[in-house]
Amino acid sequence: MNIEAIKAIYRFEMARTFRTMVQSILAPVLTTSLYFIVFGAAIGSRMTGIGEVSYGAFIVPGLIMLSVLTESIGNASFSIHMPKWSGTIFELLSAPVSTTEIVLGYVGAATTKSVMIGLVILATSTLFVPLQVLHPGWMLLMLVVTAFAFSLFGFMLGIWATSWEKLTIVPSLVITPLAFLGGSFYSLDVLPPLWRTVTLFNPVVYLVSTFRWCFHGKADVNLIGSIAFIAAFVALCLAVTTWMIRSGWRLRS
Amino acid sequence: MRPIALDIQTLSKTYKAGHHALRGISLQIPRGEIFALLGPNGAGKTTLIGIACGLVNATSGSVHIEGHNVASEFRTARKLVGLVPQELTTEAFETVQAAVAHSRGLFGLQPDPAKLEQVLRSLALWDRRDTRVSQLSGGMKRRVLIAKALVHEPRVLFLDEPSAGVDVELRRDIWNVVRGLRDQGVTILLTTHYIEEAEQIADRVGVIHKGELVLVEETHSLIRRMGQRQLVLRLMSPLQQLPAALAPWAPTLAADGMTLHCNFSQDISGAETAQLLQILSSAAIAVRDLQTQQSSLEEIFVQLVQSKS
Repeated sequence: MNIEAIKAIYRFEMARTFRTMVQSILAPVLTTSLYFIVFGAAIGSRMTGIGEVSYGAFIVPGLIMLSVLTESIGNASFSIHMPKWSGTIFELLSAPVSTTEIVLGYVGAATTKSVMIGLVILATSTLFVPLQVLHPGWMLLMLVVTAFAFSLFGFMLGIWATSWEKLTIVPSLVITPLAFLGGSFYSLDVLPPLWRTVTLFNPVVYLVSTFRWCFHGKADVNLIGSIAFIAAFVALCLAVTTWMIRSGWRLRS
Repeated sequence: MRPIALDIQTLSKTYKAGHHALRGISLQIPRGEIFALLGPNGAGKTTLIGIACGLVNATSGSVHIEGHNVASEFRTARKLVGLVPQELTTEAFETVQAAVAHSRGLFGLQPDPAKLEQVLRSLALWDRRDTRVSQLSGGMKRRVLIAKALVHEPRVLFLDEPSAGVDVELRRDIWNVVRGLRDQGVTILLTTHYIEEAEQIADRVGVIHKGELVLVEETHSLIRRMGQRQLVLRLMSPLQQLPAALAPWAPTLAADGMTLHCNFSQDISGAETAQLLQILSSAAIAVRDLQTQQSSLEEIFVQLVQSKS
């Protein structure tokens, strides 16, 4: 194992995060605060709570997930697409590094950044709503696993994309709708039976629901099933990424 | 016999679009040699380097670095290799120091401030170590790329057109660094368009054309073998007829009869020149001026490439 290479990539990526602090950390915090102001304070005050939880508190886990998903994909895909585009990737390709080291370095850094954003949003939300976290250990684990899974997905996307346009197509046309319709802002109980069934095909539902369970102790869907889904998603992404790096698909000519 | 540092066996590369970049190239470079690969644009030089460094997958054939296969033993092989690419592709926002230190880490080595300083100083980058790479001039960026390739102490160094678009000072620095490395036993393969440089620095040259190695030879013996020497004589008055005694030198006379070219395929020894001048004098041909010319590697190269196409 080339530990030094993992450290080098990780440090390099984290340096980029801190260099672009405003864009990296503050922007997602501002966006989330706006959501709280609109949905939590302005609209939420006119809405009845869901179960025993106020609407403002109800949307916190969903909002964190929404940011973690989009930031993970955005950061990880940029981190590998940028060197591909600029040509600096030659150094990574000529270095004695394997898939494991590349993934741990790049995806590890993107995961760290997303978890940081998630925690900052969580802290921000306490300024707007009284909040309880029933299962903090599980909450943290879910946060890390989700950030890792979608950073990995973003990394694949960054290798796949042959242009900047393609890089933004998947997040904006697939992930954002799935995230918005994944129960971030509502409980599945409020949907008519047909739409409820359709929604169950949306993978984000399982993430949000499990994450909400960590906060409020209640989930819309089966917990075990959700964990199995997340595990399967990570396994699939790992398999595809390994194949991409080993074969050099869209990396080596 | 020195051990082989770079061993290329029947290497071929066909790109997806169908372009045959390399056609069964075999080449062995002993440890500590400076080898210059010459060839026109698109001849396959960069593809060859790309395969040796892991940037391009070979279609068939193999490359071994110090005995390690670059595909199946990529970890060991790549640790031994340094690459300075042709394009100026550097990270933009890092400082010089951070960018070079990053490269060392990627190759699995722990930070070594002393080594870092030594490499930066050898390339006159030490004073600019805290400058962002994007703020450097093209020549300085080239120095950074070289520093990045050297900081993990490679045993085989690939330089793809290292002196393209650089000023005299940097070119001299590059060649000093290259010679210094060779003295430490580092093997160097470089590609260049500046053929007179290959002539000065390389132990051997290879000419690649349309994906094939047309020739591999010791630089000096190539010039000796293919380099024609000519004696050019400017005459006092037009010559009507060539003296028969000049026949061994295959003389040619310019249309105005005022300039005479005599060819030597070997070195001109003083005796031969004197003999030729004596013949002229006994034929009462007065010489106003004379000069000798030797074909450069560039001319040899053009001849070789033209004869193949």
